[in-house]
Amino acid sequence: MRQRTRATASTRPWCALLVAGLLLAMFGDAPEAAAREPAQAARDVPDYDGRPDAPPTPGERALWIPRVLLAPVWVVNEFVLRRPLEFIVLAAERGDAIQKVRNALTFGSGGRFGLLPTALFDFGVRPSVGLYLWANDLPTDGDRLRVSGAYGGSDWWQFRVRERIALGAGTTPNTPYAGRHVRFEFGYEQRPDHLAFGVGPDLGVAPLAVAYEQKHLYGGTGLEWRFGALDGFALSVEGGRRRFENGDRGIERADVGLAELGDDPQNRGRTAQRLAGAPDGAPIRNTFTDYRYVALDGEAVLDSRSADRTEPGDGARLELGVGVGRGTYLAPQEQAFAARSMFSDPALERTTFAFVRPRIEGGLFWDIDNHGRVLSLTHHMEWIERIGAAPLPYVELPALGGEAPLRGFVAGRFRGDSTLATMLRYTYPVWVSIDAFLFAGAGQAYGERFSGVSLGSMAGTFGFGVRSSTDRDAAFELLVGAGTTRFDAPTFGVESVRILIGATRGF
Amino acid sequence: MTKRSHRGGLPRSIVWPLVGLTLAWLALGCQRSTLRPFPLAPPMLEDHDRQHVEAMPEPYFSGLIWDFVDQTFFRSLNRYLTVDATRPSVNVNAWDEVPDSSWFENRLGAFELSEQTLARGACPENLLRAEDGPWIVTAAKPNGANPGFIIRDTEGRGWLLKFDGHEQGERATAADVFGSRIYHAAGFHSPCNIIVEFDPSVLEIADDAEAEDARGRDVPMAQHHVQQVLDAAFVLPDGRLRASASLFLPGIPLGPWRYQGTWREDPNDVIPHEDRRELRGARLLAAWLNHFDAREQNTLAIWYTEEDGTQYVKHYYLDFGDCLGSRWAQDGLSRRFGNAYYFDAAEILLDLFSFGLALRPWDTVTVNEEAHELGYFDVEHFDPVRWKVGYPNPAFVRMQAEDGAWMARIIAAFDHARVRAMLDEARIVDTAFDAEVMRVLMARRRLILEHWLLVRSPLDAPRISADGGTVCLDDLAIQTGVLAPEEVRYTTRFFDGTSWDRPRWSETLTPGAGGQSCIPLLRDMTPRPADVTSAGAPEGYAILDVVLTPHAGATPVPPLRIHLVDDGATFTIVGIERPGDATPPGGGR
Repeated sequence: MRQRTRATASTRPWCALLVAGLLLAMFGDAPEAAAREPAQAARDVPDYDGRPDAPPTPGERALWIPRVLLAPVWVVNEFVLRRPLEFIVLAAERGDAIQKVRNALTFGSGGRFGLLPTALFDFGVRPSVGLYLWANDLPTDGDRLRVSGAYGGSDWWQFRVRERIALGAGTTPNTPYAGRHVRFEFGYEQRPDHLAFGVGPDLGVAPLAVAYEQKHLYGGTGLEWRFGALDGFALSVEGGRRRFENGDRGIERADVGLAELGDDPQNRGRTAQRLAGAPDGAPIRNTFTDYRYVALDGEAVLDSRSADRTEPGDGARLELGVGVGRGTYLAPQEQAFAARSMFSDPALERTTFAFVRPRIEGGLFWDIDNHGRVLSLTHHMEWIERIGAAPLPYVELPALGGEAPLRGFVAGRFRGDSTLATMLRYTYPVWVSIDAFLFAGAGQAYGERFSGVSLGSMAGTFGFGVRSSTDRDAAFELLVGAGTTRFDAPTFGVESVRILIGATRGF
Repeated sequence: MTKRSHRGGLPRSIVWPLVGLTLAWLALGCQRSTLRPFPLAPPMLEDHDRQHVEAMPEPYFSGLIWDFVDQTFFRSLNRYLTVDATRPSVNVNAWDEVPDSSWFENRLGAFELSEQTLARGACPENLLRAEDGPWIVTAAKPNGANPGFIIRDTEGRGWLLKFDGHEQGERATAADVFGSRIYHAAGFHSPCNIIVEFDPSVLEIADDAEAEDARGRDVPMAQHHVQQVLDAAFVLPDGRLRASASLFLPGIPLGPWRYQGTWREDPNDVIPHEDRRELRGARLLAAWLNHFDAREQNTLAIWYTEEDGTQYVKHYYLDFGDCLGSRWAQDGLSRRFGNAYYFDAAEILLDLFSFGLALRPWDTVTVNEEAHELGYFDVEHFDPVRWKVGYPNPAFVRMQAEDGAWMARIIAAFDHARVRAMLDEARIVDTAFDAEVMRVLMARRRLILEHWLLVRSPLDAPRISADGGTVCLDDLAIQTGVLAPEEVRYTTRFFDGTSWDRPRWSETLTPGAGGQSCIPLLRDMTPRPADVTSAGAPEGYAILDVVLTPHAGATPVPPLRIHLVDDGATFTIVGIERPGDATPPGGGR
């Protein structure tokens, strides 16, 4: 008897839900219909053809079986989602809230000024939300001001401002990036979720990552000569300061590595050594620290493709760039910070480092059917040449992963004196201004001047995603990618999975 | 103690009886289908939904955003969750037609209407003319995609003036006028839209006139508001401006009517709108003109008062400015109009997971080379079966073959001369544009007819000859040139109740001249036994099936099924059906 009672109790909610769903399905009215009772009785439904109704067929009767089974889902869709949302949206529309929100977020004639919320979920690092502000034709026609800010916690935030001022003719509202511009930019970033995996290709099958915090203040200016949206020349100078500290503990792989080590500074130091690819007890190479820098960057991009999306996307692209940087490791007043940091090396204070960092990227693009289905093969090479004896900061080394090639890996997964990567990518349109893409490729970070390059030492990446293509300043992107171990690893397989959803940063 | 089923859940003592009951319930539907005879009565020609209503309904507020979200996401999902098997339209009379109502009045297709009548549409004799005096501007909307203003003419009538913009020549105003004529001729209620050509000096701003600023606020109107609107006007060679003028509808606006459900406040409104044949069939009319913006915001319910004081809700279609190839700022969207919803999850998923391998219509569509004003309005990418409105329309998605065939029979009546007469009302200045509109329209009409006229029998207008012994028919497929008369064959089957499964006689005929054919009904045959009155059909009840075969070897089109009553002296048609297959009336056993 007790058992039957329990059975009845367990089935009662389902039965009640089914009955309720069916009753609502049969007799439920939309809110607008139930809004006001009619003052006059409705007329009878006419008998239009004078015949009795046809009896339901077996098929029509059988449809009630899935209807009953789906009733709970219907109840949720109708009463938990649709009707409350209807109430809210209609109330907002009646109150002209949409226009008010639009007015609050855009201003100026033709939406010259605007504000948009942004969000980014890049699993493996902290999610963030932010605001993106645009102002066109400010201060004069053809100029574009962009401001973005993002917040990922009290110790995680970014802020960036860029003003592009049009110089002379060639810039129109329809081709805002063409012509000559002078660019001013400054920003600040404080993020404790950067990941350091170490340097070079020999980090093991599943390398440890350590999260570090970077505080980066920077500013600069540049000149751009753009022939179109895709190609041109640019020359810029930037100065800034970076300092580093222990980062998040909330990152899974870092947790594993650090949990084993506890809070013992010596153990942490050894971890840093391992990440840097150095044996225990050896001097730490490419350590993190606190430094100032100034950098000059030149870039030439030649792109034969049309920026007009209605035109075929065939073509070739060659990008040549070189950065020249000089910096100074900072000074005794940072001693307290350095002592706390597992990354700092007091011996480096006040020494000066310098480097030249060339990069070459070339790509071939084939619009398979002249309708936006583009297959591309791109090759990326970047390396750094030291000037002087001082070691270079870890973050100045060329990197792969994240927004850089090998996108199936998290940002900074590969760092070294040189990096190279080859990517095969297929892009195809799936909706208005939204493209999907598939990619696969291989690459690795190597030693000085590509020493140690071999096919077996490379890691592979593959994945797919969708991305908006309307605004090059702020694109929405969804990406699911994976990265493999080195091809010659004893247990070759997928090393990591990367999922990214949101508005990509930057202008 | 009750045993529980193997995996838990309902007890077996409940499950098995439930299964048994369900099977028995299903088996009830397996009874042999029986003949459903029509009564010996004239068909319903008027649906009396224009009865006096005591209280004016509260105006309905239609949310622009909500309607899109609701139809695109929630209601679309609900259709799957409720396993929404579309049933036949409700308001179909015994002659497979739609009775006149507050929604629809049979016009072209039901009656012979002169080209002059069609061209006039819903317009009165005296139209708006610049030479008759000043037009008093009472309100303006200078911003947005459709700038325009409201004027009051010398007779005190209100008109909404809309302009073309700078992108597509005279298209927008031409579409607004032409679309209103087509919808009116097809039987719908539409406003009087006309082209006006005027000098700006005819405009005078009313003292209390207001304009809507860029932020949606009403501000006192100034000359620059008017000028801002006029800047969007198409300028004629003589310097005058061109606009479409829409006469205010007679009555009190109650907001849009909806494409689903009924309006409880209107006691005349008892048929779910999505089950109204005319609203379902309007999908074909929209497809023809590429009226992708056929949503509830472009409709209007009017509190209408007849001369005798009878008041009721009358239903109008409005705003046809998107027809004939409107392009939006988002080119990718414009390319999809007619072939996909604004947000079309099915198409997106198809493209996403087919990795772009399928070439889609919007990939290959190009701006009309003969008349760029027409944008992507063309013939080559028009699919009359798969055509889609901007976002799901509850009536359109429930259109069944018989609804489409019904509207196709109306569209069949829009011959070249009639369309020409209505397009002339659009007063298109650019002759190349005008010629191309005509060409594309007639070609799209043919594509519609080639499919939809033949999904059900294209035989129409059956009538009994004067001697009462012959039934004559019009073959719309032949009359519109869709089928070649020399290839068409008709197979007739006559059932008189001796058996509803085996015809008493059957024969094959060729079409008569002009697509009109007559079939003698009186035959020398054994009279039906007096005691045979199958399926409750009245004495003398008979059925004539006429099956059309387009050409030798082709699949026959399902029959036109004419229900007759023979009183011994003459036959009377009591009903018409266009079933979806050729199964005999008794079910075929």
